[in-house]
Amino acid sequence: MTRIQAVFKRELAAYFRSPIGYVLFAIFMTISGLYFASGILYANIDLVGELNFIQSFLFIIVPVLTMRTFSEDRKNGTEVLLFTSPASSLEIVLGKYFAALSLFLIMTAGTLSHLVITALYDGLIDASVWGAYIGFIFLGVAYVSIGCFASALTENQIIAAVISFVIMLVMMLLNFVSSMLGSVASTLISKINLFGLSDVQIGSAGSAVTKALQWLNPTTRISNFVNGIFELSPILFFVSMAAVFIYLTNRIIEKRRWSQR
Amino acid sequence: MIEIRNLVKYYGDIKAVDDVTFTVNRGEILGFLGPNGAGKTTTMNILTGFLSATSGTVTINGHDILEEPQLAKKSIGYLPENPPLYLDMTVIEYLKFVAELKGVSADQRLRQLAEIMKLVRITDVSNRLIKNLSKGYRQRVGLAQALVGNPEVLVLDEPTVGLDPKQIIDIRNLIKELGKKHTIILSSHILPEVQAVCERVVIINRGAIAAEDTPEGLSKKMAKTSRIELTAEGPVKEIIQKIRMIPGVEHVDAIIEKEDGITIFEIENKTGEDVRRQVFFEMARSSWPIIEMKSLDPTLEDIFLQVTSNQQTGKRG
Repeated sequence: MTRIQAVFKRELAAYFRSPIGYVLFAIFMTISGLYFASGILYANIDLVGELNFIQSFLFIIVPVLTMRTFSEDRKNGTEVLLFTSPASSLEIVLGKYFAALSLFLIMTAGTLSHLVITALYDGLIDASVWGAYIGFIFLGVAYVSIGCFASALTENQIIAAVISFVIMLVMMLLNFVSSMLGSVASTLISKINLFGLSDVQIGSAGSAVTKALQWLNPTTRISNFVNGIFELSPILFFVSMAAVFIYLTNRIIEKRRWSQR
Repeated sequence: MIEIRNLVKYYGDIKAVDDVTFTVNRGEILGFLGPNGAGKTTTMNILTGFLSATSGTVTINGHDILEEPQLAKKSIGYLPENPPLYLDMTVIEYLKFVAELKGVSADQRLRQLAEIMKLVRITDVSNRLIKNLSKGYRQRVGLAQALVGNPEVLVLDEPTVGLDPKQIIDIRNLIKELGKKHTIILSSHILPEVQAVCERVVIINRGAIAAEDTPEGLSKKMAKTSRIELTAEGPVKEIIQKIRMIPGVEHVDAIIEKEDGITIFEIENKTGEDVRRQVFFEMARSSWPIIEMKSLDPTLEDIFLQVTSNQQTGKRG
């Protein structure tokens, strides 16, 4: 535990030893601030809309936030220090993951200032706002793990950022392409109909593909939060997604040690 | 203390480490010598648990590096060839982080770090950013990092590479000093360094152990012939002829012809026979002045060349 803490503290501080922490925070606050300010301008403050708006930038912000996580250590040779220390690789991965997640949470906390302003002027802060926050945070829990995973794959930070960008983009696009891929699947099945399926069965197979792809899409999962409905299943979804990617990150690092190349 | 058995490491089809077996006893300073790309760094990365071997075992202080990595790693301090420094931290911040990472308890941390910084003489730069330090200081911070947690074993990979002569002497003295309390493995491709510091030498080439002994023992073992370097003034051909007549002399060669008819000769003679007196009298009889004459004992360099010359290099280190 103390070792996770040691890595965590160093990593979080590292964001603020270089400009990257400040720059990211500034970009985050600019995007959310612009939306909030335009809301004030039109006397129509929409905090849920604001979070939705930032959310559409997360697939750029999070890759930049996480790209250095493992790549930098690998490039500078400091990973030798980490992996020859008594700390296990999982402890190091967790320390780094929580540090990146903390920066995400700090940035999110920055938008709370908008909440305070809204409250001061008797604006509407209802369950849907809190729901939107919870959804947003858990989205971050999953996205940051994807970013860490991508960073463990390469010693080049730019490539790491691009990989996580692509993974997140595909996840976001699942919404649009899932129905298309579903129909592609049903056409394919009807072309090579080995089991003599009826048209209805083929159609339901296609929609099953669509459903499965939509199931994977993180953004649709938080829609209920915005309506003020608190569910455990999306939270479990995001936490398990994070767990899977943290597990994979750890495997990749372990594997590199065992690699024969 | 450290037991390395039948270590093999493949990189693809290339055998970087080929059945390496040796032990290091408690309190010993072992020199790990080999040309660049001989497999030194790979071996050290394996024995510190950074890489895993294809086969073979490493035991540190009774703990297998793969079976009980935590306990084994606790007793190792590792200074890789490129010190693993976070350049954006100050020296003291960095060392505090290392201490936390190695699990040094909070009440001991500051006292231990102060001792280490004093020992490697970096106290005066403790509040400076590592990226602003010179190479010599960085190396010392790297060494300090290895010392944190007071490990019994120190593994130092080419600790003097890239330093200026004064810094090299400083680091060597420091290593000798550390050798009183720690077991040390020191890799190098510089022979005098190993000769100056180490009690035992393992020579590795193309991934395999080529020789293992004390520096003196190796010298004796290889002393089939002893050589003399003679600097004299006179006609080269005749001098060579005359010296060749001396009983015991096997071979004479003019190595360098200088100006003013001064030539440097190398004389090889059979073991145990010192021909320097006969050489003197022969030269004196012909009135060829001797400018300089010295006996060349086989150095580690000769041994090294002999061991490694018929083999090629060019593999990963």
